[in-house]
Amino acid sequence: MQNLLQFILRYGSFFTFLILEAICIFMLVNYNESQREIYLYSSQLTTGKIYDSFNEIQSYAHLREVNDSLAGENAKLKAQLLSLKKDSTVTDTFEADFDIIACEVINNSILGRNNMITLDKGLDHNLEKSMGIIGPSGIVGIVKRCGKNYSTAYSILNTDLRISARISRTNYFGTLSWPAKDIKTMVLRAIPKHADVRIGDTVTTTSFSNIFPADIPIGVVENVDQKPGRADFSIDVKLINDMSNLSFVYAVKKKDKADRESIEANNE
Amino acid sequence: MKRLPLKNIIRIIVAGLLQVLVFKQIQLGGADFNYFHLLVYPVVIMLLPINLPSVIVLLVSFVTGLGVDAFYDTPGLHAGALVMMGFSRPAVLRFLAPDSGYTKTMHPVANNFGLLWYIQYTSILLFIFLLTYFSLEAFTPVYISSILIKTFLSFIASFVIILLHQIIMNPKS
Repeated sequence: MQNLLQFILRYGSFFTFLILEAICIFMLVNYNESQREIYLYSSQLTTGKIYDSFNEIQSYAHLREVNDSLAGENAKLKAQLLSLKKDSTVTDTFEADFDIIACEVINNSILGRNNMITLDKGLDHNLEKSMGIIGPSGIVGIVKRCGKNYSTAYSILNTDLRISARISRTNYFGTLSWPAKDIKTMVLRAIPKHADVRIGDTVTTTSFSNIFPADIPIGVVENVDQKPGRADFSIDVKLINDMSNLSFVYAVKKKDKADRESIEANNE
Repeated sequence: MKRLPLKNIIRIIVAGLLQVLVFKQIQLGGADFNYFHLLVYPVVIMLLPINLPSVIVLLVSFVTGLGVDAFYDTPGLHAGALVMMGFSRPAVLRFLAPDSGYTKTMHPVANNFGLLWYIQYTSILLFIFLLTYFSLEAFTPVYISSILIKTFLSFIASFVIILLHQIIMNPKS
C-alpha cells in the first residue's frame, strides 16, 4: 500500500493531470453555453459528414423502396390535385399557411430510449429549430438543432417528447408520448374517462401546438386501458408511419409562427 | 514535508477573494475594448513549495480554479487553465534550476533566487496559464488572433501586479 502510494506520488502526476483536465473540459462543455454550442456544432459537422457518406452507400440498397414510396406519394398528390380541380372552392389551407422543405433522413435511430434523426438540410436551406417533421403518412419528429448543412431532430420515438394529439372523431385531446416499449406504439394520456374512445379511432395532431399543422394523422387507437385511480384513459396508439424505414420527410413551419408566439407570450 | 503549509492555504484564500472581489471588477480597457483581464491569483500556485509532490500541486490547482470558477460562473474554465499551469510547473522549475539545484526547503520566491529568476519563472507560467485560459474561453481556433491579443495584453497587466506583490511584500516563503 505504501509502495503504491509512493508510485502514484512519483509517476501519477501525468495521469492526475489528464483526469483533472478531462473533468474541466467536461464541465466546460456541459455547463457553459458558448463552449457547448461550439462543441455541438463542430461535432455535428463531422458526424454529419460521416453519416452522409455512409448514407450514400446505404441509399443504393434502398433505392427500390424509396422509389416505391415516392411513386405512392406522387399518386396521392395527383389524386388530390384532381379533386381540387373538380372543386375549385376548396383551397388547400395547408399549402398556404406552411413552408414545406423536403429533406432526406441520413441517420435514424430506433433502438434507444431517446432516439434522434439526422437530416441532410440545415440553416442554409431555411431549416430552423422546432420545425415539425412529417413523413409520407404521419408525423416523424421535431427539429432540435440546425447546423449549416445538417440538422438533428427528436424522433417521436423519444421519451422526452410530448405531442399534443386528439381523437379526430370526438375532438377530445390529450398528450402523446412514447413509453419506449416498441417502435410501433405510442401512448395517449389525459383523455378524460367520460370520453367515448373506440378501438380503430384515428388520432391526429391538434392546432394547439405551433409545430405541426392540425389534422395530420398520427395513428389509430389500438387498445384503451382504464387504470384504476386515474381520471384519464391510457390509450395505446398504433403509429401509421413505420419509423424504421424513413427516407424522405418534410419539415414544416407555420408562416405566422412568430406572430402567434409573441401574442401567446403576452398572455402570461 | 509532503503537506501543504498553512501559509499557502491562507494565501490561496486571500488571493482568490481578491481576484473575484477586486480584480474581476476592474475593466482596464472599458466595455468595448475588453482585452485586459487581470488574472493574478495563479501566483499562489507558483508560490507553492518546490518540493511539494506534483499530484498535490495539481489537486490544489484544480480546487483553487473551481473556487474562482464559482464566482466567474464558468465551471471548468479557470480550473482547466490552472491545472495546465500546475502541470507545467515542474518542467519550468527544472528548466530554471540553478547550478547547485534546489535544496529541500526552498520556496520559489525572489528572496531565495533573485528577482531576475522570479521574473523568468512567473512570466513563463503566467503566459501558459493565460494562453490556456483564453483558448478554453474561445474553445475554437477560429479566434486565434483575439486569443493572442488577449493573452498578451492581460499578461502585461497581470504581470505588473504579480511583480509588485513580490517587490513590496518580499515573502520568505
